[in-house]
Amino acid sequence: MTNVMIVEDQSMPRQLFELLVKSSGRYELLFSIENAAMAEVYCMKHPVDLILMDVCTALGESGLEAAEKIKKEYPAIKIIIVTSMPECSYINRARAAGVESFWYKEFSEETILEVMDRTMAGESVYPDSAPALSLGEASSRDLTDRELEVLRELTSGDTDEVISQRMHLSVWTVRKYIKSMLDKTGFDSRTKLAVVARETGLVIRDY
Amino acid sequence: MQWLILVLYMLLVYSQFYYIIEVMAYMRRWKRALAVLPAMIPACVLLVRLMYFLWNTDKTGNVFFATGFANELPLWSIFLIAALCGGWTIFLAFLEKRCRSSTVTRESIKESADDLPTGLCFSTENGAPLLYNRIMYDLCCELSVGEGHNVLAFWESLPHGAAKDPPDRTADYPEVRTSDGRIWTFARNDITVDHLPVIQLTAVDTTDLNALTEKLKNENRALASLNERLSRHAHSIDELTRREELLAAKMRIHDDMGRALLATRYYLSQETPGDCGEIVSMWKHNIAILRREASASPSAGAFKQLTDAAEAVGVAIVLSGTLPESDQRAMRLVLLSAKECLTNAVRHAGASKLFIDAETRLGRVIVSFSNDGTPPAMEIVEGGGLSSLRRRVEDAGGSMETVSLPQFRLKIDIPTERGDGND
Repeated sequence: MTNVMIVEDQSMPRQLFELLVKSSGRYELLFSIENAAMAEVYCMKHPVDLILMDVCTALGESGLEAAEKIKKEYPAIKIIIVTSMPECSYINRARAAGVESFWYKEFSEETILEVMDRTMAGESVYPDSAPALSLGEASSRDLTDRELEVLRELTSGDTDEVISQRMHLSVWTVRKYIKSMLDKTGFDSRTKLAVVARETGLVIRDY
Repeated sequence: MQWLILVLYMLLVYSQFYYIIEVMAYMRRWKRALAVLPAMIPACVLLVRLMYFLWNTDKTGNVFFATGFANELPLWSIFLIAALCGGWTIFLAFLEKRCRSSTVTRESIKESADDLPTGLCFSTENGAPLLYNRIMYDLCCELSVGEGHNVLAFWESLPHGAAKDPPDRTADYPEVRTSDGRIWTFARNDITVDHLPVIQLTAVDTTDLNALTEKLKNENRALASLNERLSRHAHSIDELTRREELLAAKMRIHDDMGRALLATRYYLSQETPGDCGEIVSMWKHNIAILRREASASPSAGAFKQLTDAAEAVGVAIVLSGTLPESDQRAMRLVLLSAKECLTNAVRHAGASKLFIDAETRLGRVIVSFSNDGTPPAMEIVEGGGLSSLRRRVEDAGGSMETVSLPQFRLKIDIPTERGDGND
């Protein structure tokens, strides 16, 4: 039996995962918790084999950050990131953290049990790319990586000066990227651009 | 004929002296002497001849010319001398004009300063004026309280004078609104001219700039408000996404129930129903979900999350005081600190208890963590976990202290979300 820990802050999705794990016959539910930051504590004294880790968890704790720490301390534990957020950077961040698999709750064609089985069989299951989202007249894939980084910071509501300091860029460079995105998407203001980008979940700063 | 000559004499005398007065006013320095002296000669001759002419008129009214030096000269020679003087003067005026256009003089400096759109004045270090231009002179007249213009006193009176409303002047660049509604920004610069200290005072009309700055301030205020709303919107989106996720899960359950009902109906409609094991399994699954949903408890709460994790690794949490559970930002940092202390207590100290002392006062939360495990053998060097925690605490405007000996203790001091000091 494979010991599974579920990290999910929403009650109903967590219960669905619990049912799936319990009814599978090949997985044992060890813990089911809400806060990703606490996951590391459970791994210290319990033989966790697989973690289903949500990205946005209780108290705003990031599942990606927690996964990175757990993989450093306990590299044998396999982790599947499960999320409904189409944030374009999550896949790359998960790969960089050494996470085995990545599953979109809403967009993936495979069921979570299939992904769990393949992951435990030694496969790394990742979607080809983040879902393409419509952003004004453009698709999210029309934006460059750097533009998406600036867009992510833009949703903070901070001024160009603050954003440029945080990104170690000049103010003019930040403004150039914003203008380029406005040209591509056809939005007439940076606020509209930021609101739509955040509403669609294309860029999320806090996790 | 004599009367005609008399009038001519008078005109010549008048014109010569008028010329002398003009030359005195127009020419400068040595050119003044060069221009005036030649003009004085024919003027004097003419004057003498006029005197003789008048004095030698007899009682009968007959006019005759008296004898003397002035009368010895023929009349045409006097006209010739006057003409030469005029020519000489024209020549000198030409030189003067050319000189004025190519040489910087006191007057040209004054003229140029008067043409400036800004106020300008220079004074000695005691405030005695050396040069005022027209604008600065007018400003001094309007803004000075007492008689006389001492530049130093004027400068020092500016921050207390007719202030702009609202008064946001600084001592370095006082701004003053004059009676015509214009705003002038003054600046003082202490310079040295020919090794002597000189005070330079300038006044720039910043009325338009001030209006633009005010407009910019208003626009920035509106922008800051918009950015704040954007930030709040970003947080509400998280909640919206969670709700959408929940709705999707509920829709899946609804679909599963629908499938189970259809399968049951189909099974019951059959004349010879077969194996119902699969349908029973579907119903069991759905009923299990519904039961869990019905008994679903709300979020465990931050402290419960901590105690559950601690219990899972055999550590009891001993809390003294009250944690700021309603302040998510502060609670997040408290929980992160507790988690860091918990992992260290289990890994390195073999502790069974984690003590948390919490206190909230004057808009700040002060929390200390210690454990009952083995004390560290030496001073603890902050590694990845502790230094990462320190960064997050400091980013939130708080501070973190660690004490290694005799017992490890970690203390964080963080502002509450409201930070109003009424907690």
